[in-house]
Amino acid sequence: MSFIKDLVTLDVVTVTGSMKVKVTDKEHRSTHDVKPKSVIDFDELFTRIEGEVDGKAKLSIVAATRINIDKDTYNFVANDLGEVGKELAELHFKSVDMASKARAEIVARLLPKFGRKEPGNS
Amino acid sequence: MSEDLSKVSKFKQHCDQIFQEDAGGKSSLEELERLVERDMANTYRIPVSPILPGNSSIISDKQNQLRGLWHQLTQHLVDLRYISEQEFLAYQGHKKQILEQREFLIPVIKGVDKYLRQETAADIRELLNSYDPGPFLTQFWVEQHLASIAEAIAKYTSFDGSLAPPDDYEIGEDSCYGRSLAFRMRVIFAMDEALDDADIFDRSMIKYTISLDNILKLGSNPAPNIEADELKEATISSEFWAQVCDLDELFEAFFSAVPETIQDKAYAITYKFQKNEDQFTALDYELVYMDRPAVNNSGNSPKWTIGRINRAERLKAGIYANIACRLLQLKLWQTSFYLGAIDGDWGKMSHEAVLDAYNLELSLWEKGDKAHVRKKKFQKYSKRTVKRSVFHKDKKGIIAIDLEDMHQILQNYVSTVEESSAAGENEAAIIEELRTKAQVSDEKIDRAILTEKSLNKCYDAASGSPKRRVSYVSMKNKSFFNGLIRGIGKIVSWIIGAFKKVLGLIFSFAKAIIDRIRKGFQLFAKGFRYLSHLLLGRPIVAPKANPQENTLPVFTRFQLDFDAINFVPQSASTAEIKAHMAALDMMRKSMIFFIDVVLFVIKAISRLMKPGGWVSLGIMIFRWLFRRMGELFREEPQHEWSDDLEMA
Repeated sequence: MSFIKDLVTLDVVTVTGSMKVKVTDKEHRSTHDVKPKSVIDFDELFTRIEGEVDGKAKLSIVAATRINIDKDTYNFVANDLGEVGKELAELHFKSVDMASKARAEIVARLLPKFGRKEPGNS
Repeated sequence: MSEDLSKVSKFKQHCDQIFQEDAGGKSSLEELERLVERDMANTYRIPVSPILPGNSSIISDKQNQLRGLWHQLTQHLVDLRYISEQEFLAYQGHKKQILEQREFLIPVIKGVDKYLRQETAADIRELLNSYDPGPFLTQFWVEQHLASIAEAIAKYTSFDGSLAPPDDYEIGEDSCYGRSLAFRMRVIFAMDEALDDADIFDRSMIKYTISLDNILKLGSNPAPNIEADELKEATISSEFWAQVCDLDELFEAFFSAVPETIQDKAYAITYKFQKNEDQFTALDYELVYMDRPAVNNSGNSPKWTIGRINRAERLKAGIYANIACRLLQLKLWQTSFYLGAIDGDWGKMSHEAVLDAYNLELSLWEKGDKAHVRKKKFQKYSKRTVKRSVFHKDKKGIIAIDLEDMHQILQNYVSTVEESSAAGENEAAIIEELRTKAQVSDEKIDRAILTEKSLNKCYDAASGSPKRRVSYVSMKNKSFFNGLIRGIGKIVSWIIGAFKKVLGLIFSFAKAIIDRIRKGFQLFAKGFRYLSHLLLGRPIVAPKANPQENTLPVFTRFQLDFDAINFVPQSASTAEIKAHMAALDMMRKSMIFFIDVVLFVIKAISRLMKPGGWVSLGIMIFRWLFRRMGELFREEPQHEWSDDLEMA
């Protein structure tokens, strides 16, 4: 399970804003693609969120969390989150909780039991 | 099909690679995702159930292959009167187009809605809690859970003892139990049109339970001589419930219920018939009895002869004959020899069903099959029992079916709960048995079972007569795999295409295997979806308040290192954000369970020496998952999967 590539930090970021939706049509996909009609191209979307945002998109960070391997945690929450601020913050910290739990549990399952590197064997 | 088989090998290969260090685990996971959600979903003809709203990937173009499950469900719905006979007939008339002309499913979905609202069983309540269908039940929602619903409702119309007596049933209540009791009275005892018209069991029908109790002595409450004003307080005892839900108990009751003066005799249903090439006519049947004849040493003397039939006493009360006939029809139906209506009318289908059972059993003895003698409870069962069970002379057009012996034959086709396993051991054994036959290949097994094409004749049976039924093998309390093992020769002939007639036995075999595979596959695919969300970056997308709007939804995406991004569009409402949080919560609660499930299966498949075809793989997945189901639901201690892997 070497493809779990970075377990040193855990970063969770919540963004809001407006972006144009690019919808792809099933007809233009290859016959091996299983996605149904009118799906959002999430790969492109995340590329844009992660830095290559075009000039027309307006994005702002709602909250960001970094958890280091030693459990040191840094949180950032924006000041003016408007009417849905409470829900946005709650959503952010729920996903932080889920990400850290998922990582801990999956790593615990994959590495010691299924990986080749048992403690003391490396 | 050979391409399909190579996909099974690919499946194994990718499972294997995931656990190889530096072997491109992510691409193997991606390949596996494609195989699971596209190839397996299509092969097993069931769409992947979306665990989270929004970005569900595959809603198969081949949805029409779900029709078999719809047929099964509608049969139960009409039996329990959740849909009317007219609606059932309209459905039957258009059943090949139901998924294109969906208006014919509207009454069925309404019936499902009503059933689900009345169902109190834990598995269905849990399903509704986990996947709230909202105020209006949709076809999409029903299709996602079709297999679970069809299985859950089956207990109300089965006679295998799988329906436990209710804890708090009140006569007259409109509930699953009220409908089930009305159905049972109609089937066992339709002696009055009023009974046939009733959807639910009410106080006006108590007189029928009293009559039935008078005849079969089922221990019902009220007592047979109850005063009219006491009827208002009457209840249905749990003993009565237990017996009307279990055909074997009804048979037992029947044999001990005949008048004392004629107990312990030999009983037979006898009738005259005329049989030409395509024509068959049976005259009225009679229930006759005589002293049990002595058996000669060779065991070849017939029990019933024309002389004995003529000399035998006739049971004057016609009701015994009618009930005996219904019970025998039910038993033949339950063991998949009979696909007709349980109506007390004995015609060609009933006649042929008896002869099919008789001939199959006789041929097993003549081939020297010793499977029969393993069962202790049938120590007295012998070739002699089979030979004496049916006396028939085609030329003279007369037949006598010995009730006790025929019941004993048919019992051989049923395993009790102690002998059978709910964990799929029987299914795995029968598939392995088939794979040992020289003329049977994995490809042929897959083609015969998964295409279900030749099973259409059995479904078609219902359109000619709305009361005609196919028997859906119940796995709850009794298994009929003993019967399937006995009929394996016919199943082999069917698989290799040498046997065109699709017996109920073959239908039951194919349906039972498919049902198991579907259950296992749904659980496995659900688990795989979690891996897709957590390891492959598939976004978790909340439902939009207005799906028609061309705006972005709220979504979360996890990356391979579990870093996460939430995106909340500026236009998102509080309700949409809360819906997304609920989706995350649901996923967080069950993710460990599902990840355990799917990792275990992937690991087990990677160790397979001989993967076989899709059917074989599906049964293995079912067997692995369901063997550990109880343990999987326990939060602590965590299961040691390595133990299972040794067994797998």
